[in-house]
Amino acid sequence: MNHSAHVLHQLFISGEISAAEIVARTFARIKTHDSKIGAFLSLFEERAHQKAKILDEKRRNKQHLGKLAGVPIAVKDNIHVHGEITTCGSKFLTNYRAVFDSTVTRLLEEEDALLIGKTNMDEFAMGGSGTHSAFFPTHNPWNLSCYPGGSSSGSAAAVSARLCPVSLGSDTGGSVRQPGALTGTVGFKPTYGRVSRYGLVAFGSSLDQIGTFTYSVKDTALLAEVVGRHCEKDATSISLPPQHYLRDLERPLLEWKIGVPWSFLEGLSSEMRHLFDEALKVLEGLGMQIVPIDLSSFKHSISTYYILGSAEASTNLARFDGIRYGQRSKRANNLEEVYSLSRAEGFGFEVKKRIMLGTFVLSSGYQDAYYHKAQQVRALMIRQVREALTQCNVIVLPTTATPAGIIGGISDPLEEYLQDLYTTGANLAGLPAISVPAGFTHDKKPFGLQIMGGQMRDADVLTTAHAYEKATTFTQATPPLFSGDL
Amino acid sequence: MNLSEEEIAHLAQLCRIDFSEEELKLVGKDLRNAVAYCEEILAVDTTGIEPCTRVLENAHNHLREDEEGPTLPVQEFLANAPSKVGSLIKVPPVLKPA
Repeated sequence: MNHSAHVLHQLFISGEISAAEIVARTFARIKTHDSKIGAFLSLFEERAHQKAKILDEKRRNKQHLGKLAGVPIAVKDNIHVHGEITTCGSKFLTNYRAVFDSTVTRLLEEEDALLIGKTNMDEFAMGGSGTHSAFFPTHNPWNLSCYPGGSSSGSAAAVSARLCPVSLGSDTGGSVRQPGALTGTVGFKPTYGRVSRYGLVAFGSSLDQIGTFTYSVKDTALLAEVVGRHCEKDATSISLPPQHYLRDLERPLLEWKIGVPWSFLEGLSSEMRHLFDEALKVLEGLGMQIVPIDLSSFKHSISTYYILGSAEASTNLARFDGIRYGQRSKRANNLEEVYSLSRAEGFGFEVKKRIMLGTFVLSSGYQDAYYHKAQQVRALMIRQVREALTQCNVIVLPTTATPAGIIGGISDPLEEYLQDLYTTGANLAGLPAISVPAGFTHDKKPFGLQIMGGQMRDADVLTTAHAYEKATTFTQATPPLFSGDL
Repeated sequence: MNLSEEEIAHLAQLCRIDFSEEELKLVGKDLRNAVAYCEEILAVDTTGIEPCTRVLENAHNHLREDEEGPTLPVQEFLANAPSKVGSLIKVPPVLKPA
């Protein structure tokens, strides 16, 4: 069943496999393997079987079938699917049932995708390890004692272990690309505003973007075409027509310039630096030309991101008040206690900490010093990366500075924050960016190459990633534990 | 900037989170470290730089016409409410009885 979405769709259309069989095999595989990795929080067996029945019927009757007919897709548990539970990986929302469909999942279902379940995540998408879920940690399919990265930990692990060819995640500071890199999958964050966030539980509204995991850039391009469209229910949605990423994939890259921000990469270990250099050689071999660019302001990414992201999170999470839905403390005797006890019981430590940090940087007396300063530094970063992008077509850098670490091995919280050093810049500047598998460390941990482009130049990012993928074999590498047919 | 115990407790109050004493100590420690780290940006020269308030180039707000549209189904929405009376959400008394 280790077929890409493209192949699986073809097999279904040509009649070699029925949708019912795809669904049956998918759930069999999940049941065999998921106990090892903890990727899923809920499974949509009934829903998927029903949809499969409809698809098989449609095919028999030679009716029109969508672009994703027969493709099983997992959804991060902060994206609503009407009638299904949305927990956001939090105890606060353990029993919350979504009352409407997100635009993304509606678009997928309109193209006849099979939604198969919701995936584990760091609580409210805060964290870079997959160990901040209120339910259980997710394990890395390449090494079960390691974390898969986060916050879209389950979506990354599910695709990495080949439980499904496609999953949805959300990326606020790297939450798709970072676990993509750590699990050897293709993680793509489109331009800010390209994919509707209607039905995505908000974390940092000026940063959040829905993205995808796949094991083929071609699949990524297909998914980006399906979900990358204007939505009137999201005020930040870009009102431009959908783009033809698949058609653009095969463009020759001769004469294309790739910008490398050398000074920003100074802290890399020699092993990670070597892997990055090897990836650059492949791109040069494709006719691309390397030019040095200056992204010196990006060294402030983490501070800027944590100030702005936490400020926005503290505001967005104010809605979790214990009144209308979710956790309500049984100990509460008055309204004030409904708020403070429900939030104390429902939120995990990391979430509480970010609400505290966000409230601090927005509080009277500190707002100018921290929040407004961070907004200015963000403006400076945007200015610099725009300038850099006049000198090159795309920017490349490693997705992460370190490979996946041992679960429970991070003792200093700042260490986990620093894992986002190379990914937060694309969120702060609203840029499209992809992490594509680009090799392994000596102990067989995946390394991710990040390719970043200008706003609304998602096609350039995908084309470069596709060319790189074709010149190497890393996207096809499957974790040995999960390489069997079942 | 070194946040005092009182300031941390005040922040917790603003956040409407009832921390245990022990948890407040832990969160205070991490918060102080995070703030200390983030303070590196205070030294960045941002003279004359306008704060970034929108990310997209050529962005403009999309406002819809002020027309009545479908609303969320009330019964379905109420199914998520922790406590309710009929079609209303129930909360502890807000005003003390006179």
